[in-house]
Amino acid sequence: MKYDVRSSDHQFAVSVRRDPAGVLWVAVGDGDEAPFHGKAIATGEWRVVGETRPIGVAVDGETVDVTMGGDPFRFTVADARRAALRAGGGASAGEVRTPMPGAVVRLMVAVGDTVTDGQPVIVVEAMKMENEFKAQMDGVVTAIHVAPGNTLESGALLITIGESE
Amino acid sequence: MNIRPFSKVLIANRGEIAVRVIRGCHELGLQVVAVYSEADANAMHVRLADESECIGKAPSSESYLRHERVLEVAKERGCDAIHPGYGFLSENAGFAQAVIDAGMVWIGPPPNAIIKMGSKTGARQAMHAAGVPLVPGTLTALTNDDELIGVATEVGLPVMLKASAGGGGKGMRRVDHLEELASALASTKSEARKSFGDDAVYVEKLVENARHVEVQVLADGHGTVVHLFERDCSVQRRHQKVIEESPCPVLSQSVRDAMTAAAVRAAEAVDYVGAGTCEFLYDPKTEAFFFLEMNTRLQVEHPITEMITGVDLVQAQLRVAAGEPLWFSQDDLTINGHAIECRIYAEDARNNFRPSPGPLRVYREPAGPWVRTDSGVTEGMDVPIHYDPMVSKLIVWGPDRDTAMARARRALQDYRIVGIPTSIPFFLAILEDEDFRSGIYDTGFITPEWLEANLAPSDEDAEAAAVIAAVARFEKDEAVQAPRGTAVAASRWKWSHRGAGWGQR
Repeated sequence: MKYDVRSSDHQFAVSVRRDPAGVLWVAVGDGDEAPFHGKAIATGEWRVVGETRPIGVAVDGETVDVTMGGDPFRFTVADARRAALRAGGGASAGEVRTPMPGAVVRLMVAVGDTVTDGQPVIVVEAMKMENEFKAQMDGVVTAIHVAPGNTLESGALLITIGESE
Repeated sequence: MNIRPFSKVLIANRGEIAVRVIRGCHELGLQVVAVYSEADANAMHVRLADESECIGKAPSSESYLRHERVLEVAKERGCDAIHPGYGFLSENAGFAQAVIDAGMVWIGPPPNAIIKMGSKTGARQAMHAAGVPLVPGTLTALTNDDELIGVATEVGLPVMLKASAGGGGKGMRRVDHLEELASALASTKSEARKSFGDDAVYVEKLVENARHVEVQVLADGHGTVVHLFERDCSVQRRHQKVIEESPCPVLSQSVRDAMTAAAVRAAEAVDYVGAGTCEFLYDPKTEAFFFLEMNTRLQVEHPITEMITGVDLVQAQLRVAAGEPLWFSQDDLTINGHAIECRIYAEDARNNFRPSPGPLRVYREPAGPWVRTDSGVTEGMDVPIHYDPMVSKLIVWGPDRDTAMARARRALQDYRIVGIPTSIPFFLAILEDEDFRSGIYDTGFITPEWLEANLAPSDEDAEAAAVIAAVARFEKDEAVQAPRGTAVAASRWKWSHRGAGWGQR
């Protein structure tokens, strides 16, 4: 799993996987993968090999607080793909994409419609839930790439929004 | 002797100091009534008290500062004494008088002493008369710009303009140039009027590179006034103390003798009763010291004095208020070892000490030999946004200063606080600083440059923390998926078991 890990002044791309033997492997950015030897030893308390300072950890959804020897760090740990979409990284704010695989339930706009930032534009069903996706900018719908009933791959482009004249 | 003119004490405060006073009362067999705001319904002082009552909404003006309501609760609950702690109503002479008029015992100094020391110019006049050295400047409020310019020229620039009704680092302004004096006076006056409702302002010479050294005194109202030595509170940010130690690492015995004697004279001059503190500026170069003000209450940093003298100051306050003479004399008091206090605040030292209220998702305190924590919080609690952001006071003792510093460092690292940034990294950096370690520091110790150099977040640590955060999230995600598999297996097992049972039947 790839995570986008951000604090107010840092951002890291961290990938984490567990091999069949149960060993965790981590890689930061383009760096080499290395085994991670650490675990929770009590609620909120971690021990990590190679780190002598006490480590406190609390996970609340995407917010993860870590203290190292009293030094506090607050991170938002997001699924990297979702984070990229949210930040418009790679994709532009004018592209509405699905962060998960699913199926189109209905379209809420047509080509030529004027939309505003935050306006719901399409409904996608995934994991038996209907999810509304929103426009991330003010503009005009320039293209619709899908139709109701279409099955979607994660990351698929759904709607393109352009600047209004 | 066991005089007990009161048996049930209302504590008009919150947080760690309310907890501290409750403990002192319980040790003397006194019952305690806590008052609290809506934000503090689950606070530790409420949990520890024998009885408690909500006195209003979260903002202190609508709860802890409502003196009429506090007094009403005390009467309704049958209290016969009130302890104000520090802050809030503790230096409100009108409230003290109202408590006395209601027939209850005020666990604090006489209202007159509060009034005399409450006005900085009034205090300067009283101290001048008592022969206590003052920072050169005016004894009365400034009446016009010419007077200010005259005094400033005489004592020499830079000077400090101070609101007579000010305190706690508020209502002061430094002036370096003659031409700035007039406008600085106008703005200090206007600030003083807004903050304290009194625009009286006086001027003092600015003593540069000075240390803030204060002397604890205790007076019993039977003619005995003792001092309990000094505390050095020079490490400050925004004129507020962050770390204190006792004894002062650079005071010679002769200066200590002179300063403590001056503090005793100051207390005598205002007929002081109970626990109080005289603050002095100390210039290590000239070995001169000057009276700043007297705090007519128990102070945040009182525990370090308790650690080196063995005197329980809260118990002393209670027993003196009950009419007992002090049970020890000056000759019984000696400095034993060294004590350090760190005020751990919910604030982000890396971001200009921005207050960081929020949930204490993990909160565990250090323990071990000669480690004391005075706190008003527990794990799972929110540090409320409405009050002083202090989470905990760490107090350590050692036979010497080096041992105390090592113990402080160890204990700071043993705190487990997750959820909000605290000033712990700031204290760890101070304890590693060469100047602090040598004991040579003054009130100008913490500068923006110092913070930049010593508190810059390490990229390496940030990366290590980010990896742990990602792994924690990964394991949480795994855990969410795992029970599904377990549940299937369990039901299958139950099903086959049940089936087998039926088959056998």
